Amino acid sequence: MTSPVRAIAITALATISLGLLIGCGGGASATPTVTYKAGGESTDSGGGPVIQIDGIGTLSGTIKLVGDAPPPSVIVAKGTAKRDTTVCGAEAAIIDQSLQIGEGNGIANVFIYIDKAPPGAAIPTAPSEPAVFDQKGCVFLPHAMVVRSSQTVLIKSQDNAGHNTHTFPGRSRGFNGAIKALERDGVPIVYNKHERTPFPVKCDMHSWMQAFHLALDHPWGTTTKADGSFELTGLPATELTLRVWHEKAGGKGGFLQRSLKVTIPKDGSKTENLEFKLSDFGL
Amino acid sequence: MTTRRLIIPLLASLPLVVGCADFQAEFVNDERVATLATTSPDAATNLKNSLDAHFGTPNALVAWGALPIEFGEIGGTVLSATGNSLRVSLESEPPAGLSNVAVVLETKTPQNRTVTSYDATTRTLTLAEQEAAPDVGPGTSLRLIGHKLQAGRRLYMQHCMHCHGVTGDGNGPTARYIRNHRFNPLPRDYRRGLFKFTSTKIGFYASRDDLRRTIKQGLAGTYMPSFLLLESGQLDAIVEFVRFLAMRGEVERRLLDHLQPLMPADDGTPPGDLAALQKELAVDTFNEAFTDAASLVAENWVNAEDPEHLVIPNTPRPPDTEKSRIRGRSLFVDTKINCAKCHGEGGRGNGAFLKDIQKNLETQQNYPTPGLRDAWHKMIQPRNLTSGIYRGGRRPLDVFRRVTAGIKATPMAGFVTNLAEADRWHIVNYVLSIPIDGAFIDEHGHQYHGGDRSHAHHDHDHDHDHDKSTKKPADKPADKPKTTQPKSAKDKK
Repeated sequence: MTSPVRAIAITALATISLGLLIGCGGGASATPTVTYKAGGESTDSGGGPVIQIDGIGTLSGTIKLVGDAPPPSVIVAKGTAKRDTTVCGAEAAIIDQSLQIGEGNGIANVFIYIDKAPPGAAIPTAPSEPAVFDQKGCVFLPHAMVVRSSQTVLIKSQDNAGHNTHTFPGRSRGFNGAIKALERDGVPIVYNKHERTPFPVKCDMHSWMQAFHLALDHPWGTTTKADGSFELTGLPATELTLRVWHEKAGGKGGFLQRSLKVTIPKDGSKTENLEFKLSDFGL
Repeated sequence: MTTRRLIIPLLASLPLVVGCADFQAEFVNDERVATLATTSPDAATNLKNSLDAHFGTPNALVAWGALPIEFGEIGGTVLSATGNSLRVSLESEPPAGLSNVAVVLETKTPQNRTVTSYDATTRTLTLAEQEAAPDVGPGTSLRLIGHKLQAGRRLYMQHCMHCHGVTGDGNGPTARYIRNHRFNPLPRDYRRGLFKFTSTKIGFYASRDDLRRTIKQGLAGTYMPSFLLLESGQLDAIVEFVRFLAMRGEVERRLLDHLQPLMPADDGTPPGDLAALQKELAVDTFNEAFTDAASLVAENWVNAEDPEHLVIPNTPRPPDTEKSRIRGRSLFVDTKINCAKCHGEGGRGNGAFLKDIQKNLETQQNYPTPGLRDAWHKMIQPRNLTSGIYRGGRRPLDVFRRVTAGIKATPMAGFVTNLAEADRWHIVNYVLSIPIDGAFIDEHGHQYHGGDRSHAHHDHDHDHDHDKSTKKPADKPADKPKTTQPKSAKDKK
C-alpha cells in the first residue's frame, strides 16, 4: 500500500489527470465573461427631411462589345444529349448563353438597375400578375430577368422531363424544388427581399442550365435585349447611380460598371450608350 | 530512484506543457478578411472590431440583444443595495457558481454591469464594479443575462470544438484527419447559416429542434457522434452556442460580401477607384450594412422556429405494402422525377448525374472533376440507400421530410413541388424497403435475396444500360434474413 512505486504512480496519475483537467479543452477551463449589448440600434436614416422627387423620365441606350464577338460555343449539339435526348437540345443545339452578342455587337443579358431607390422617390406598387420563368429544351427562359421582390415568380416547364430549380439569392430565401414535366400551372416562388446583385439560378439535373435573376424593391431595373438595347421608364427625375452587371464581368459575375451616374430630366429622356471589351468579361 | 522520482512527475506534467501551451481560444476571421486587408487594412480592422463589439471573443462573450438567442436570462428585483452588493429576489434560481454574467439594472437609463458572484443563501449579487450603481434601490428591476451562453461555450469547447473549431468554421484540430478522404463529410462550417438536415420547408433554416436532434443522435454514417448522454439543459446550451457561432459567422460573411468591391482582383491588383469605394462601403454605409446583415440573419433563425414552416405530413404514412413499395419504386426510377439519376436505379448512390461536371457558382468556373458538390464546394455522394443508414434520421417522417424539402445546401431538391403527398409516402415506403432482403429490386429489375450489395465498383451509368448479362445475385432463400440488416420499416414510426 505504501510502496514507493505505487505512491509515485499515484502521484503521476493524479498529476496527469490534473494536467488533462486544467490544461486542455481549448481554454475551456476559464469561465468566459458575458457582457450584454442591447439590440435595436437603429440606423440613422441620413438625417434631414427627405424632399419628394418631382417627375419622372426615361433612360435608354445600347450596350455594345468593341471588337470581334467570340463564336458561340455549343454545349450540347442538336440531338446528342446524354439523357433526356428527346427533350434536351432536341429541336436546336444548346448554346453557351454566358456571353450573348447580338446584332450590331449588342450585348444581351446585361443588368442595368438602381441598387437602392433614391430617398423621396415614389415607388410604384409591384405588379399583381406573376412573372414567368420557363424552360424549354433544357434551357431556361429567359436567361436573365428582373422581378420585384414580393412579386410571385411562376416556374414553368415546357419540357417532358424532370427539372429542378435551385436559386441562390444573396438576401432572399433560397429555393430548391423539383419541377414536374410539362408544368404549365407554374410553381410559385417569391424572393422576399431586395437583392443587391443578380444571382444564379440553376438546374442540378442538367448541369449547363443556368439563369440569373434580380429581385428589386422598386421597378427600376432591366436587362438588355438580344441587340444590347435597354429602356428604363418612370425613373425618378434626379441624379441616379446605376449598376451595370453581367454574369461574366471579371470572368465570374460582377459589375461592368458599378456606378454609372446619370441625371434624368423631368418628363424627358436620356440616352446612355456603353461599350465594353472582351477583357471586361474575363476573355 | 532520484531520477525516477524526477522523470515521472516531469512526464506527468507533459500534458500541461505540450498539450495546450500554444492553444489560444480566439475567433478566427474568414480568410477573405486577410485578402481585404491587402487593399483596405482599415476596413478589415473595422470589420474585426465590429464583430468583436457585437459577439465578443471566446473568453469575453457579448450577448447582443438583437439576436434571437436564448443567452440565459433571469429576471428579478433588488431588495436592497449596499455598495456593489445587491440583495435580490430572482424569478428562478440561477445555476450554482454563477459568475461573470451580465446584469442589466433597469434604472431610468439601464445600466449594464457584471456579476462576479451570487450567494444563494443570502440571495446576494456581487457586482464586479466597485462603485455603487446609481439610482439602484429596493424595487429596481434587473435581468441577469448570459449563464446559458456561458455554459454553451464551455460545453462546446469540451465536446464540439475539436472538429467544428472555436469559431464554428468546421476547422478544429481534428478536422484535418476527417478531410483526408474526399467523401468524408467535413465537420459543418456553421458560417453560412446552412445545416443540411432539417424539419423545415424548402429555403428555411434549421430549427433548434433540428440542431438538438443532430447533436443528440449524431449523423449516422459520419464522424458526428451521438451526444445522447448529455443532459437536456446541456444540449440546449450547446444548441444556443452553435446558433450564436452560426450568426456570428454569417454576419461576417455578409459584411465581406458588402465589402467585396474593395477586394483585389485575382492577380492582386486593387480596384481602380479604391478611395471612393472605401469611403462608400467601409465608412458611409458600413454600419447600415452591419445592421442589415444582423437583422437578415436574425430573421432567418426566427423563421426557422415558426411551426408554419415545418414539414408536417397531412396524411399518415400509408401501410407499407408491396403495392405501395412498387408504386414508390416506379416513381423512383421515373426519368421525369429522377431519384435514380442520383441514387442509382438500384439505390446504390451511383446514378448517372455523378458523371456530370458541375459549375462552381461563386467562380462561375467548372469544378475540375465530375460529381455533386454542396454549398461548401465539397464533393458529396447521393445516399447509398441499400445501406440502411440515413444521415438525417431513419424514421419514416425523417425520410418523408428529405423527399419533401430536400437536403439544404445540396443539389437534393424538395419534391413537394413535383409529387403529391401520397406519392412521396410511397417513395418513403420503397426507400425504407431497399435494405430489406427480398424487398429489394436491383438496377436490372432482379429481386434481391441477400448477398453483398455494396458493390464498390459497380458504378456504370445506368441511364440506358440494362445489360442482363451482369452477374445475377446469389439466390438465397428469402426467409433467411441477414442478422446485420436494419429492422423492417414496419416497426418504426
